[in-house]
Amino acid sequence: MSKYDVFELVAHLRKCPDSYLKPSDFFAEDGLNSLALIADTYRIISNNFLKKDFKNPTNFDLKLIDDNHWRAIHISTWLLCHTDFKNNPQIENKLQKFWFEELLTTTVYVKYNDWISDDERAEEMVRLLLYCCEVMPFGESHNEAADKLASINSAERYKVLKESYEAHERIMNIKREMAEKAAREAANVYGRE
Amino acid sequence: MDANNGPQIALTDKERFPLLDDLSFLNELRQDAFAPKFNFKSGDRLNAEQLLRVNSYKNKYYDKKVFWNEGQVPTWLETYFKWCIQTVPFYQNKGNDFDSFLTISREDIRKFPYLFVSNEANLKELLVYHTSGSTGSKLDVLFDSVSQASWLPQIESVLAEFNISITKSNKSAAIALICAQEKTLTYASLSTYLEGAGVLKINLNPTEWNHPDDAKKYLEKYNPEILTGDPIAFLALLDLKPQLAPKALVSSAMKLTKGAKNKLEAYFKCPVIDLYSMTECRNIAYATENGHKVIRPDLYLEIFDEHTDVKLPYGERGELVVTGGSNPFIPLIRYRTGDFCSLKIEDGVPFLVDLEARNPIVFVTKSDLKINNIDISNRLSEFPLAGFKMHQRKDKSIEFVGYSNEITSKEIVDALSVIFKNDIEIEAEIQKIGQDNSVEKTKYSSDFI
Repeated sequence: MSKYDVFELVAHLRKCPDSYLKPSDFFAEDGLNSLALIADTYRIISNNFLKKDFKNPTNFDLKLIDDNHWRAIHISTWLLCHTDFKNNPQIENKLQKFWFEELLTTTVYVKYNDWISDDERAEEMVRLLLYCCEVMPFGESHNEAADKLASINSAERYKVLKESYEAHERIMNIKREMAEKAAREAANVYGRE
Repeated sequence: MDANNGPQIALTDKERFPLLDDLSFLNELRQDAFAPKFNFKSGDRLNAEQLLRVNSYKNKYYDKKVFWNEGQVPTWLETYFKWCIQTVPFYQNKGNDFDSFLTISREDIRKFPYLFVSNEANLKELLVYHTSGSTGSKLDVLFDSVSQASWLPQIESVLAEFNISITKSNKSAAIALICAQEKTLTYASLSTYLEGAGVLKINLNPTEWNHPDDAKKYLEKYNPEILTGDPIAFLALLDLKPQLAPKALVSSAMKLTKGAKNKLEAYFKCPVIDLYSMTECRNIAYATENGHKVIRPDLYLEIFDEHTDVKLPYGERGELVVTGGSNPFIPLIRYRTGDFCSLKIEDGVPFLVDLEARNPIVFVTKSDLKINNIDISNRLSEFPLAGFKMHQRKDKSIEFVGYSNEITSKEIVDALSVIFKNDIEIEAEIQKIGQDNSVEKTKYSSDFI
C-alpha cells in the first residue's frame, strides 16, 4: 500500500465512527473531551506516549472555537489515526496550523458532517492536511497537488461562486436597465453616425 | 429611429435640463408658428457634476497637439488598458499584454453589450438607443449623457481649425441636425454645455410640417449656426433654397463626394466638413486634402489585416482598429471598425489615408482586368451624388443606383466605362432625392465575393 495515497486516506476518513461526530465538551457535558483527543493524537504521531506539553492555542482562544469547527477537528483526529501518520514526529508541529488556522477557514463554508458524507469535502480535508504537513500526495507533483487542492478548496470555491453570482447579478441589472432605458428618451443627438 | 416603435417621452423638462432655469427659448422653438410637428422631446440631461466632466474631457484632451508618434503609443494607453482588463468583464481573462491582445468586432458588442459595461460604470447614468443598422446588423448602443455631450467639444476642436466657434447663448440656435427621411424622431432642445443654445433635430419630409414652406421659414428664422446631417439630407435642403448663413455644415454617416461638397459650399458659403464617425465611439476624423485628420486624442488607432489578427505597419492598407474612447458603457480595445485605410502620422497627429467605409471590393472587366473600388470612388466623387449602390452580377454586368437631382445616368455610364476600359456592360439608374428618403449608404457588392 502506498503512503499518502489520497484515495486510501479518503476511504479511511469516510469510515469515521459516529463517536467522533459528537460536540465538544466545550459545548455539552457529555461531549467529547476535545483537548484530550488532540493530546492523544499528538502522542500517536510523535510516538511519545509520555508527552505532556502540547502546542495548543490559549484557553481564551479555545473558547472562541465554534461547535462546527470542534467537530471538524474531532473528525480530523480520526484521519490522523491512519497508519500513514503514526510515528511521524516531523509533522507534529504542523498540526496546530492545520487545526486552528486552515480548518477554521474552511469550516466557515463546510458543515462538519460533510467532511465524511461528501466525497469532495473528504478529499479536501485529506489534501489540506497533507498540504499543512508539507507532504506530497502519492504519485503527484507539487504543481498537481497544488492545483487539485485549489480546485476543491471550499474558501476558494465560495469566493468564485460569490464573484460569479455578483457578476451574474450585475449582468441582470444591466439587462434590466437596458430594457428600461431603451424604451425611454435618452439624450440629445447632435449629428448622424 | 422609428418614431412609432422607438422610445417614449418620459421626462420633465427639469429632468432634461437640470441646470437650465430659463427655458423660454426652448418653448419658443417648440411653439413657433412655423415649427414642425415635433414628435419627441429630448434634453442633454447634464447635472453639475456631469457638466464638469464634459468640460474636463475638453480640457484634458483638446489642448493636445501631439497624439502619438510612429513607434510610440499614447501616454494614456497603458492605464486605460489596465483599467479595461480589471473592470470590463468582456476583456477579463483574455491576457494582460496589449501588443498581443486580439481584436474585437461589432458582432461581439451586438451579442454581449452588457459584458462591455465597466464594473465601475454607474448604471443610473446608463442611456440606450437602438441603431437602425444602416451599415450592418442592429445594435443597442449604451452610453451616458457625458459621452453624448462630448460630441460638442469634439466638433469644436474641428471647427477651431476653420476659425469657427459656436455661440454660447440661450437666444440662438447652435445646431440643427437635418434629416430627409420618411420617419425619424424630431425635437427642439437646448444644450447646457452651450449655455442654453438651441439644438434642433428636424425632418424635411413635408408631412412633418403644417405647411409646405414651413421647413424653409423655420430654418431661416432661427438660422442655426451649424447644420449637421448626411449628404442626402443636405442635398434635399439645398433643393429648398433656404436663405441661411450657417458657419459650417458637418456631414457624416455617408461618404461626401467632392461634387456634393463643392455644391454645398458654393451655396451656403461656408466650410462643409466631411466627418468620419461611428456609433460605437462617435467622431474620429474629418476629411482634408491629406486624408482624414484624426480629431480624438483619446483614441488609439491601428491598422490590422482584414482576416487575421496581424497588425500592419504604418503606410500599409488594412482595417482600421480603435482603442479608447470616453464611454464607460463601451470601452473599446482593438475594435474593428469595418472601414479600410492606411495610417500616417504627421507632427504627432494621425491621418487616415484613402478611407473607405466598406471592405475593399475588386470588380472585373469582361476580360477579367481587376478594378479597385477606390478608383471608382475617386472618379465618382467628382459628381454631386448623395450616395450610390454598385453591384457586379455573375455575368460581370454592373448594376448602379445613384441618388442625385442633377446628374444623368449617361454621365455615370460614361465615367464607369472609362474606368472599366470600355469593356463592361452597365445599367445605371439615378433616383431623385426628395425630402422623405429611405436610402442606404454607399455600398459596393459583387457576386464574385
